[in-house]
Amino acid sequence: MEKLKNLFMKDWFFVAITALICAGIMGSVHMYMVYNTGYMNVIAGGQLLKTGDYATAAGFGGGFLIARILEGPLVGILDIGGSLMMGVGAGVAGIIYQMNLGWMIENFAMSLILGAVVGAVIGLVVMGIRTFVPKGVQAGGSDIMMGVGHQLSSWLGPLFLIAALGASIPIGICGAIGGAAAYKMDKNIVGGIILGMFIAAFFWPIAPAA
Amino acid sequence: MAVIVIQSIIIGAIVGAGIGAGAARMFHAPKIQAAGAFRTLGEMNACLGDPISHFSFGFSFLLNCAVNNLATGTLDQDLLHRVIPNISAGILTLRNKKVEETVYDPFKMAAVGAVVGAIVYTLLNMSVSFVPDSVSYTMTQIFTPAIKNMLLVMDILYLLAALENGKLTGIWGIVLGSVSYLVVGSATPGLILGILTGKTIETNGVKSKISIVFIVMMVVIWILIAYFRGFFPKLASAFVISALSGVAK
Repeated sequence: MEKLKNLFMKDWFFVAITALICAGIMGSVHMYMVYNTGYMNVIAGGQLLKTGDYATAAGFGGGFLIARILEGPLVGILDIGGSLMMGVGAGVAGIIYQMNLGWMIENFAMSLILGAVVGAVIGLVVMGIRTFVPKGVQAGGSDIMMGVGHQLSSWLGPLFLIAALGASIPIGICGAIGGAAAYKMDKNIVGGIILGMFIAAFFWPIAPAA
Repeated sequence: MAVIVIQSIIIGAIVGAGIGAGAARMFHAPKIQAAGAFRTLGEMNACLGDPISHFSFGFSFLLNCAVNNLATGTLDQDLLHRVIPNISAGILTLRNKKVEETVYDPFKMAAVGAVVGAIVYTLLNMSVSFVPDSVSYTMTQIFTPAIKNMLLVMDILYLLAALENGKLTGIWGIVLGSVSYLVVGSATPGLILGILTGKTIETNGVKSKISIVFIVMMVVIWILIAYFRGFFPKLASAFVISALSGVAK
């Protein structure tokens, strides 16, 4: 027990941790692309991959990845939301699809291996920066990007509501009711709108075009 | 179904172990490098040592994840940020309230995290099989236009952010954003890199090593992307051929 604890407390064990997390996240991308479930990231990233906007996914996720990798070693905590969930789950996955290597994600075992390798590289880069970059040198801009990330999440609700209203009358009405109820209860309106649309979709689904 | 269950158990256990270990190491940062988030650390500190607060916090976000997953197939970031760390910490503190021996121990957190991850992720993925195809088709039909609009909003928000943060980020943003739009069809990747480059130059001075590395990296990255996407022939034909045809008229 004590030996294992000491191993897990080694600074360089960080590389194993990022490898594990990234393997899982890449596996979740596999689940999402193949079975439509379990994507461990925000819906925006997932939809970019689904609709084939791989370059945007790569840029969006990759930007967060770079920013967080530069910030992580300086503060001691690597933010897994920006760096791994968004950066690997959308950014690296987008790059893989962009290079026409999508089969690596659609094959379960390969997706785990790919994720582990990517994670290990990220871990090594972080530890490298931590070890070799002198104190005081810093890459700026991650705070700006985080600010835009927050703004974007407040745009998401209105965008979904407009899409629901445009889709059909019952779905629009249920989405609006859900959003209003969520707002009344001080909850995130995106959740309410999605829940409303989801309930409406059971009773008034959109028929596939023949 | 069996395939989904087996894959979910594997993925959940792997990711849970990593998250557990990373979260426990947060309590030792910055002495050793941790993986998590500052808000996760804050939230865990707020509940620290009290299993009931850990559980109620974790389970309330688990509910969120479940609804999201049913409707969209995505879990949001809460599963890894909140659900797994807090439920694991709750389980560990049930038996021993001394957090130094439990929640602060990366190995124990990794072991419990793996079990929690496997169970939770499997349950979440199994619940989706109850959603009929017509419903998931409808949801996709709604999300596709929403995401198209979001791409435009993203471009605009990043450009505004670049412009608001000074001349350097603004100019780098406009230039790289435009290049990026022409080459890959979206300005966001270029704008993000432009903001990072501009801000780095502003903080460290244009002659510092890191600024030079950034500038060279940007030039090389965009030339490579443009080359592999066949942009240069397009660029040449757009300028030269249309100019020639103008002369011929």
